[in-house]
Amino acid sequence: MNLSRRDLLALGGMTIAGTALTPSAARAQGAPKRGGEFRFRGYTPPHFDPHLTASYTTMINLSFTHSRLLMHKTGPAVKPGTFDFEGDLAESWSQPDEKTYVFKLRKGVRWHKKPPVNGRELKADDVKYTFDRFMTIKGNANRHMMNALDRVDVVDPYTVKFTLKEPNAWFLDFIATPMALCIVAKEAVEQFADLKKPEAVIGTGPWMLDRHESKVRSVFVRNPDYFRSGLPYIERVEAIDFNDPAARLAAFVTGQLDAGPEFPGMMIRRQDWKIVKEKRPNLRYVEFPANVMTHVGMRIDKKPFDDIRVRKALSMAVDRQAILQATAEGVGVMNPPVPAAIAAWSIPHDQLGEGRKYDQFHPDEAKKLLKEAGLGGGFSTTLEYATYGSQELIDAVQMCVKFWKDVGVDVKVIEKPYAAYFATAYQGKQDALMMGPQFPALEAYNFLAQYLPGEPKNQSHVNDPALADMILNSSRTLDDKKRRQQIHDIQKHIAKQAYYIRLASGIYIAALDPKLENFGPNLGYDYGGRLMAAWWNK
Amino acid sequence: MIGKYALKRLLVAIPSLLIATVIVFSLSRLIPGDVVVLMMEENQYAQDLEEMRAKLGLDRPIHVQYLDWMSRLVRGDFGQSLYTGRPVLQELLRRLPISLELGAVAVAFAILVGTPIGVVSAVRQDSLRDYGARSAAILGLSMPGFWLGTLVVVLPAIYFGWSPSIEFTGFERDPWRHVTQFLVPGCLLGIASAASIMRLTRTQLLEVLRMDFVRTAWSKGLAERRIVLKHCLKNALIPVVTVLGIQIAQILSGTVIFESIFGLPGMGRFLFDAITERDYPVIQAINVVVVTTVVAVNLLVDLAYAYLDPRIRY
Amino acid sequence: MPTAQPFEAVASAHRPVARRRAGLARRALGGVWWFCRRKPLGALGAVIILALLVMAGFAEWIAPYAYDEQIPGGRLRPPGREFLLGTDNVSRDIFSRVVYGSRVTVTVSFATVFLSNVLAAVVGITSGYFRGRYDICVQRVVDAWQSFPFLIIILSLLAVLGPGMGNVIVSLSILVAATGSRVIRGATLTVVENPYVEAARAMGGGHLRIMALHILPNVAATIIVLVTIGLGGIILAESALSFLGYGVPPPHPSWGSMLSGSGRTYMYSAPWMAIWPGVAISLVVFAFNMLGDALRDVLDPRIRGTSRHGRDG
Repeated sequence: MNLSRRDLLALGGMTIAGTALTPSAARAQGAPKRGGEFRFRGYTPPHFDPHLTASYTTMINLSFTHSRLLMHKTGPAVKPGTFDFEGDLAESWSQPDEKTYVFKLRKGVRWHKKPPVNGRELKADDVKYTFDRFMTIKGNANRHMMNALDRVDVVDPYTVKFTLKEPNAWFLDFIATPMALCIVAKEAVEQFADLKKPEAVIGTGPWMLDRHESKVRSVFVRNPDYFRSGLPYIERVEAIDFNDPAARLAAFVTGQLDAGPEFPGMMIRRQDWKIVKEKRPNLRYVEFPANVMTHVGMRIDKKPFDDIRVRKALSMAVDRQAILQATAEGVGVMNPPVPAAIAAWSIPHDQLGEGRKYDQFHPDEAKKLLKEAGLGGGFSTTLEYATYGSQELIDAVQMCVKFWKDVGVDVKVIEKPYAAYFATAYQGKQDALMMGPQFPALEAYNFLAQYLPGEPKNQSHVNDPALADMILNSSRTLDDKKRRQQIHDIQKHIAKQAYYIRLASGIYIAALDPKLENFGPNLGYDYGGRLMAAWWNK
Repeated sequence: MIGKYALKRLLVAIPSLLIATVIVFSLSRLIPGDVVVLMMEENQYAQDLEEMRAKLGLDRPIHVQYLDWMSRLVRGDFGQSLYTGRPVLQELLRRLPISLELGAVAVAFAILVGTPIGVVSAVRQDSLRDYGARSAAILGLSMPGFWLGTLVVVLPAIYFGWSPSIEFTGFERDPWRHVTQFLVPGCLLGIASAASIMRLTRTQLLEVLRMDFVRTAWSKGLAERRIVLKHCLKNALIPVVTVLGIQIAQILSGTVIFESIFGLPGMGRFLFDAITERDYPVIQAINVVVVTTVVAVNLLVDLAYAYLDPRIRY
Repeated sequence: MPTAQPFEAVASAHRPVARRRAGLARRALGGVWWFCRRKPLGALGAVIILALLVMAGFAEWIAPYAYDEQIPGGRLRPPGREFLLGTDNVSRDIFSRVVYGSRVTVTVSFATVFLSNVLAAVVGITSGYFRGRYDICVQRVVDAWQSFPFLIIILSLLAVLGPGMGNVIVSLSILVAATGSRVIRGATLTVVENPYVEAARAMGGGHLRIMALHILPNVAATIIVLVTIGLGGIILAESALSFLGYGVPPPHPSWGSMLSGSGRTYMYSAPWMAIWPGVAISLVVFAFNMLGDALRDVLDPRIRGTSRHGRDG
């Protein structure tokens, strides 16, 4: 992890256990045992068709039942926040030229033994079918991920060739993303018209969906014919959907769940750590920075936010550490434009250069800048947000409003229902300011795309041709090292312009039953992939 | 006689129910126009505005749409959920029994706890027990239900390492666990109603205790227990029955809160999720079912009342 | 007329001697004294409500801090000498927030009660006055509204109208008005029977005039009782809506959102964040219930068991 100790803000006497940040690789002892049940807090999806929703709830469920061409490496040795590729359905892959990728599929991969697919072998045709459906089906909210894709060709039953319209350095990242691009069976689509029904959940993954009760639970049972022989070890997985946070924690401390209940994935809230330690001693904890980054978008196409001094002032008026203190017990990391959690691409915050200053709390300078901008008497504006049901976000919004009030800016908060927020402010259709968490992507591109003109998530209405060129250029740079340098430069440029007010992110605490061996928590929705090789040492 | 009354009462109930359906139906008409656009865009509920309007029934004149909606309701067609695309009826049938079971526990608790305390409170009027019971009743009416529920979940977890199961158990899987999981939330849900019933029982009984025939009984030297239980309670409980009708609506309201805290997949939780997802057909269907339940229960209560107390007629 | 209150037996021997000569102020004082003696719990309720109103009216003077003031180094302090009720996770003084929170409570509950009772009075009085077909039709509509479980229809309404204090007030009012109108109608029916109404009509008084001058003053007692009893229920309803995420949005602190939002989030580590707003809600609801009961016994013993909105979750 590129995260230096200095980046971890440990305030008010709060410190993080140093050992917890580097999970030891050699924890697992003895030979893996098969059997047992894993209970965690799951989510009821609107439906199960990965091509007709962008909801993480669907993706988490499908991570148990479906496979994709590539996946991210998992296990206790993997540092959370790193996402190296390994083959899932693909045995190997190559890139003969800038615009072509060739995947060799594993042989003997069988679909779940469920009608109408009934355990036939997965072949190259299935891959082509899936991508064709992904590209052509109406209402696919994730289609933008494959914007660069031109066509998919079957070379032979175990070889598929992807041709791109233009070189795209992020292509493999998207292919490996859980789980929008998991491979689906044509027969299931034909039989059920779409893949929305639980019966249509037929994949090639380590577990099979045994039962789904809406808002109650999903039960997955081991797939005996899984292509990684011997895996998975855990016989039964129970995803219990549970609504109330206070009751969720009560259930966790009384041993009704095997892993922490908070989103996204097996966490506990830091303020509850003490009671958890007290009530369930000996749990295993892993800490890593959150990739959820909350920021404030400003209409820089409108007055007064077109004035960089106003943006800097609003940013420097906000005491990020105080917010962190209030909402995350003071433990967290400052975020450059690519969140610190995405270790491979994020620039260390102390190397951010000139723009670093604007992330720091300088209320006097903020007032000075406002004065220079001719707004010494302050001004009034509005901020739109949705609560996401998160008290942390509600607190952060209220604190920001107070910080702005302290420098003379009167911000009226407009709370919107989630759906309305998502369709307006989240897409940059707010009146002045908007505030909210960004999509918790696992690569850098998603965090940079919001600076491109015309991109719906460009909530600040950034229109900076030089920046756009830099971003597009980096997407065409296939050499990782070079690209990393470019992305670091991009982040410096963005920070200097104060396009968004980025808040710090907390450090997640994954809490796990100590008897669960060979399991490493991480960011992202690949619950199934991470659990695949884990086993119970009971 | 009672048959005639029943008919009369039914004639009153039916128009009320019809008006209630009109109210429910009009709800979707109140959705602001821009929200209809939003629903289409954000949740992909429809491909275009026309389809979205059609799905919400906004594309035809309101009376045509209402009649069509009603005739489908009567045939048991509650439409499709926008969010899941599944028939609403199917989901309702799965969830209604859960809420009814929860409500039944609450009603049972309210009666079994409210009545005896009310009796003691009345018989020992102005005693310490009376004050205690009445204060407890008012306290029961003064605490937000979600707060009570949270305490009951959290405190035992902290102090006894126990917490109600978060996992809903279906009847077919384990009948015993299925029934027992309703006890804690059901009793909590019934507290407010128990308090109301206790207060009413007390008032009514006090009134009856002062009536002539009771004085006669006293003067004849009958044992106190016998007077209270045999002569008074029956008379006092008649008005209490009517309160049950009112309590049903209150209890159904409470299901929204308690099903959420205790993880019960009933109608209350269904409604709340539907509201979050702007799933208007589901919201409408739940309202229709709930209103029908309340009207039916009130009808039964009134009939029972008329049966128990022959003096009461329209 | 036997009542629900136990103090009657004790107090009945002391019916105050009306000292009519003593002037208006003294009579009013005497009335208060009489009420306090006869209904001590009701009087206690009145005192609590008075305190609530003072708190809401003079929050700036009473609260040591502003509701959004972040006190440096004052995070999650338990109740004590420095911070009476402790501080929250944002380093804000909870006592000050409870004091400012009374404003939301007072605004929502009084606005709702006002709106709903105006609506209820109009519907109830006209319905009881005109009777006949108009009455039958109106009563069926009222029946229909009454059949909706409170929280269910209100959530449905808010789902359509969207969150916000105004919408909370409007939706609550419609619901409360339905029940209230029924009671006011009942009271009107009795008043209409009085000879002076007949007389007013014979003298050619217009309907509006009769309703405003002769009926309204005579059902005013009923309305006052309804208002008081209704207030408690409305406060609880507001907190239930907060719990479900449809309460009054920030920045103004409301007891409901303090309890259900940050209070529940820090239940395990800082229970005082939930306890104090919880106590405030219960105390005020308790006070309204007590005062309502007492006023009902004194002013209008006919209505009983009407606290339909006693608690909805």
